[in-house]
Parts: sequence; C-alpha cells; structure tokens
Amino acid sequence: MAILRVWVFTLCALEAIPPLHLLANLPDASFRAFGFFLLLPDPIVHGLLSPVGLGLVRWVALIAALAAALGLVTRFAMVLATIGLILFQGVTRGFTGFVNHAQLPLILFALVLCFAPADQALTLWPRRRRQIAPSAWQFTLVTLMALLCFGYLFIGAHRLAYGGIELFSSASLQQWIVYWNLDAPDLSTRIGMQVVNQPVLSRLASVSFPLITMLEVSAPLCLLSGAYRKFFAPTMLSVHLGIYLIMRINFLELALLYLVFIDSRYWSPAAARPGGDAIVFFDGFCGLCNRFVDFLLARDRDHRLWFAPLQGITASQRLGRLESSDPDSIVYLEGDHIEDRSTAVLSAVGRLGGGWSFVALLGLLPGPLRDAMYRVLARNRYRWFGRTETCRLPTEAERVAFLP
Amino acid sequence: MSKHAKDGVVDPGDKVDGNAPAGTGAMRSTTALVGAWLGLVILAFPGMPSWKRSLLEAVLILLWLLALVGQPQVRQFIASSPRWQLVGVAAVLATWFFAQVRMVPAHSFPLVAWHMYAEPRRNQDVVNYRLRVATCAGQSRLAHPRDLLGGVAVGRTRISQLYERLEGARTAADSSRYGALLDSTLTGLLVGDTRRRIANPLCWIALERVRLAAGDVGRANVAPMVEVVRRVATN
Repeated sequence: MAILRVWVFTLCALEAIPPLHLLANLPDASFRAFGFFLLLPDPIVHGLLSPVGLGLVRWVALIAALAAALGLVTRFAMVLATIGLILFQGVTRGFTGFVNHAQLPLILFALVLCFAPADQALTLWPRRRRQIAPSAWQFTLVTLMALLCFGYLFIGAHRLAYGGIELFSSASLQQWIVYWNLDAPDLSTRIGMQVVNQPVLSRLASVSFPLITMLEVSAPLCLLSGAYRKFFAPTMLSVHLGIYLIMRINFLELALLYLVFIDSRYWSPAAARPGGDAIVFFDGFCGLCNRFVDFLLARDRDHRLWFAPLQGITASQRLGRLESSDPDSIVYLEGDHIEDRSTAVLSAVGRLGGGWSFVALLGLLPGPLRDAMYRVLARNRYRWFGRTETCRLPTEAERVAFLP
Repeated sequence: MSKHAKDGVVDPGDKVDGNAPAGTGAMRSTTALVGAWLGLVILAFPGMPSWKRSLLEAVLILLWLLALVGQPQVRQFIASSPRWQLVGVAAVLATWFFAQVRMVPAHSFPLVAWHMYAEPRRNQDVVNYRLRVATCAGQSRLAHPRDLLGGVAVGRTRISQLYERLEGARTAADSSRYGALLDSTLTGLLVGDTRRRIANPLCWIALERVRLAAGDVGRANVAPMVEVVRRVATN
C-alpha cells in the first residue's frame, strides 16, 4: 500500500511539473467553467485563472504530491495534492477542452488513497509504525483495481450500446485513424496512415476493433480471476501501445497505474507480511553475511530486527517447522511468513523504515532476475568476501539483538 | 482465503464462511444493487441522450455488477470491508455511473462519462485542425499546443479540441465576437511562445483546416486539402 501511495503521488507530482501560467495568455472567454468551477465565486475563479493563481495551483499540486510521496504529513499532503491535481486538470480542461481520460484514473487513485489507510512504512521520518488490518488495505487495492476495470467496462458498454454492429462493420476506425494523423506535416511518415492505406493492415485493424471492445467489456473479470488478470494486463497494455503508434493517443498515466494489476506480493513484500517479530537468519561463517548484519545493526536503532545464525538453535527450531529454504540464502522470518534470497534482503532492509523503506521498490524487478543476481553473489561469497573459522558470536552490545 | 484474496484480489476459489446465511445475503445484496441501479437510472433518465441506447448501456453495466455481487467471496469481501470507506466508494461509483449513462462530459469532473469512438462515422469527410507558426527569420513549421503552452495535460490537447470549442462559441455568440475570440486565442498562443523563446520569436501563427474526403480514406498518395482559417501576426 505504501509503495502504491508513493507511486501514485509521484505520478501526481510529475503531472504538476509543467507550468500552467502560459494558459493565462489565453482570453478569459476561452475558459469554459464547468462542475465545481460553477460553485466557486467569480473572484476566486478569476484569481485562479490569473498567472499568480495558475502558478499557485501548480506549486501547491507539485509540493503536496511530493510530500505525499515522501510521507511528510502524509494524510494532509495527500488531500492537498488531490485537490491540487483536480484544480490543475480542471483549469487545463476548462481552457483546452476535454481530450482523453488518461489522467482521470490517476485522480481517482489519489482520491481513494486519501481515504485509505496510509501505511507509515515509506516515510522519511516515520512515527511509530501502525499495524493496519489486512482487510483495510485489501479493500483499497480491490477498489483501485475495480475503478480501472469499470473505466474500461464503461467505454466498452457505451461503444456496444451506441455503435453496435454498424460501428464495427463501417470504416469508422480508419476515419478516426486518419483524423488523429491529419495534423502531421507529412502524412506518409505516420504509421497510422500506413495501416489505413494497406488493405491487409486496415482489415486487421477492423477485426481488432470489436475484439478490443470485448476485452474492455470483460475487464471486471480481472476482479475475479488471477489468470484473467495475467492475460488482460499485458494485452491491454499492448493495445494502448498500438493505439499510441497508430493514432498518437497517449494513455501513459493509465498504463503506469497497471501496477495494481500485478500481484502485490511482487512489488510490496510488506503487503504479504502478517506483522510481528522479524528475524534475519544468516550464514554465521560468511564474511558478506556478517557485513550485511553489521549494516543492519548499525541502522536498526529502533530494534526492529532480530538476528540469528542459520547454524544456530533458533534457526533449527523456527525454520525447521517451516518450508525448507535455500541453505545458501539469507532468510527473513516475520510471524510465520518466510522469505529468502533477494526478497529476504529487501524485506530486512525495508524493515529499517525511513528512507530505507524505498529499497522495497526494487521488489518491482522480476523475482527470477533478482534471485539470479543473488545466487551469483551467494555462490561466490566465500571466495569474494572470505569465510570465518568460527560462527559469528555477538559482542556484548549486540547481544540484545541476537538469538542463539 | 486464497493468496489472491490476501493480496487484495478476490478469487473464485476462495472459501466462504460456512456460517454465513449465503442465500439471504445474496438476495439482500442483489436487491440493494438493483434498487440503487434503478434509482440512478430513473434519476438520469430526463437527461439521457438516447434512452434506448443509454438503457442498453446501463443494463450491460448492471449485468456485470450482478455477476460480481453473485460471487459469494465478493459478498464476503464487501461485508468485511470498512463500512465508511465502502459508502465512499459506492458514492463514487454511483456518481460515475450516473455521469456515464447521462453522458456528462465535464460537470461531474473527475467522475465524467467514458465514451470514445462509439458513434459510427457515416462517410463524412475527415476534418482536423492544426497550427502553423513562423519565426521572424521566415522559418515556418507546424506547432503543437504543447509547444505553445507547455505541460503534459495541455500536451494532450489537440488543436481541433480548442478550435471546436471556439466553434461552439460561434453558435452561441455573433460572428464578430467569435472572430475576436479566435484572434485573441491565437494571439495568446503566440505571446506565450514568444515569451518562452525570446531569442527566436514567432512572427505569425495560423490556424489551418485539413480535410481529407471520405472517399480518399485508404488511398495512398492523396494529399489532404489545407486551408488557412485564421492568421494572426505580431505588430
């Protein structure tokens, strides 16, 4: 959840980076007030549309989103960033019209996260970490995925209801492709025009149109089936890439939110942990492992971690009962949840809290890739970093964090 | 609970609590859902652009909602969710659904209708707009609103959208006011760009209409017709 919060509000900050003040050069009459703008008093709307107002909206949105991403006064920053982003987008859309919906899911995600439990793990200066009931963050994750899926369902359902067979049997798609490419200086350089002009590619586009619509309509199936999610996410991302290449319509923000389609175990080790004591099991003879333990000990001022050698009694008692793990690996145990190899390293460092929590973002790298690198290191650890003759014994000062 | 449910996603394989009165719960959830759906449809009905099509769209969405609520694990998941957050999400979905079936394009922003590429084009000519600018050194090029206004959000704006909005103003106001608005918009774009590129300022900006006849769509090597709608130069 914390990683998702960082991700969403980093994207919000990126949205707010470009300046807005140039919009103030456009005549006020070209601004069309809508929705919440109509509820605001005129002086406020005029103030917002002035160069100072536009600059203020942009800076508030940017700073609040950065603060929310970094975990500074998180709750307040998230609300302010969301309001800032809605204003930022609203002003832009009021001036330039409604273009595409790529940014809308980002606003919806920010909106939901404002009210969702904010995990304190990813904060620069964390307060005492609060345990969040799993049902609370599960609810948030499901809600976010549901919002994405309903967006697709709405598009597909609308197309089926309003377009019907006539839409799919006509050359409407080809006309739209041409429409979106007509602003090019040289039409022949555009991939979209090649697609329209080549009969085979044009027919392929016609056939794919109803299939894409059915894919959109079926999006809510992702909420029920993990297998369908694995099919839907890459397929729909490919569709978005294709649409960008052919029609130059960019759905980047939406695509970046596909993080929520990936099982959260892969990108947030914290999401799968039940909480409780955390023990790092390490090879007591290994130079590298001992250096890693020293690294953790030096930074674990709040005593969040316990340490125990893999050759000790605690390891045989605690790990013996659980699924056997790689003997060459660091093992991380939290409650009954066990991790090894690179995931264990990320979890142990992430447990330190503060800025170290951001290390968990490396969990976004595919597990097999991380573990392959880990294995190379583990296999050569004695050769590269040395081997001690005896198993590590804690010093007097370290004893408080060590288990036998 | 399955591993997916642990990760926040409900799986059909999840076991449901055997003590829960499944039949009653399902009946209650379905009734509540259909009741809410019906209420929203009735509320949205006066503003529906086409009641037959809007109802068909609403029914398609309802079928999916029923399919979801029909899953015992979804009901269990909803029942175990934090109550006030559930109410918040239900309100968001209800507003969004209302905007969708009534095709609200802006007023409920950010919960607006999602509709794109739905109305069949019936052999209409394809018309779009673009901006051409020229520096005082005489170099002419096509410009994107992104170049002139800056910004990711603005960057998504096609000049056609900007122009079509001004076209809307033409129907609402007299033509002289429309012309003035168009000129001042183009001047605004020109001024903005000139402030950003002081070393190589622009001398004029022109709005071009690009048209490709419906019969020429799909024909290679057919150049579109380009006509200058408006041109504004610096003093």
